Amino acid sequence: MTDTIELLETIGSDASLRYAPADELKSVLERAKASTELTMAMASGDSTLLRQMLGHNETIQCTPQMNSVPFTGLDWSKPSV
Amino acid sequence: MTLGSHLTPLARSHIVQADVVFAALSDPIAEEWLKRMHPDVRSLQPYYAEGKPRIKTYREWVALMMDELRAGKCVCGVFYGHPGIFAWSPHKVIEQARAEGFDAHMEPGISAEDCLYADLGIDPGRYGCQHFEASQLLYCERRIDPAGYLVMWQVGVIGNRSVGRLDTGPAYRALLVELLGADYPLDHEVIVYRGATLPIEQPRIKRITLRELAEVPLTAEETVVLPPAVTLQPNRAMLERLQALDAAGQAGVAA
Repeated sequence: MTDTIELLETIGSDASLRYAPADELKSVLERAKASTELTMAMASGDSTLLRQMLGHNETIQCTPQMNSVPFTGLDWSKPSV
Repeated sequence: MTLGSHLTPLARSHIVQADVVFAALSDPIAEEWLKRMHPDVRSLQPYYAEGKPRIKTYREWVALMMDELRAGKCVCGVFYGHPGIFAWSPHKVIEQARAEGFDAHMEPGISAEDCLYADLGIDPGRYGCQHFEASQLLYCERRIDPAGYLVMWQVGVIGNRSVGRLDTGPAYRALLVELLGADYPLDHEVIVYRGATLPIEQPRIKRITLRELAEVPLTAEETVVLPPAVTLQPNRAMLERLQALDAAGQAGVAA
């Protein structure tokens, strides 16, 4: 079975795969003997199962750019950070 | 932004060459991928906690990186998208490192904003584009130009002033809708967007009305875009002055 992370990197960096139609990508994953979770995630568009397979709890927040400029709101006594 | 697609060659080189890598990424799978590039990748995610002020988390991140720097290590911080956009700690750690005499710099990355333009077919140069962290629109008096695009970040946690709640809910968003209602009709189109973080995903694009924005379920990583609501109006006074300059220039050439 081809490693899931390796396959994701390959798909992400290959122009012919990144935007391949779903059935074509499914064939690629089958030929590469991709994990069931990866194939299902691709087909459904839901990567939750894939994250769970890799041991990641979905309750952990993975928020893009959550580390925004913190704003002290109404606390005008403190200098802005 | 997308695993495998958007890590620049130079950024990868920094990662590989560092002594230690700190990572604040949006997807645990991306973190796994990063761990394959370097033997010492330390996740910053565990420092977030429900109920914990975000500023405390960010200060901890800075302290962690500075500790390693002071210990003589080459430190690389990897942050989701572009490390300098909606990101306090990368700027802060660079500022602090330089203040202590260390070399420090930031490499630009492909941000969620860049993906948004590509996925939604928006050219920010066409009508102009304003970006705000959504909460700032409530906290401060800002001028919105409805003739351009309006992009609001982190609408899902709007009004989250200091405590690390990860979803503030419809009542808070209703205030935003009320504020925007001054410049936009309530049936104006609103796009809720989330870029793809894995290459097997497609961007999530939902089109709703402004009226629906308060109640629609929103995650912290979704971005809200309002397309222009009014047409651009010519500035006739300035146009006349430009014409006068053109005429003077031509007269100068003719002479």
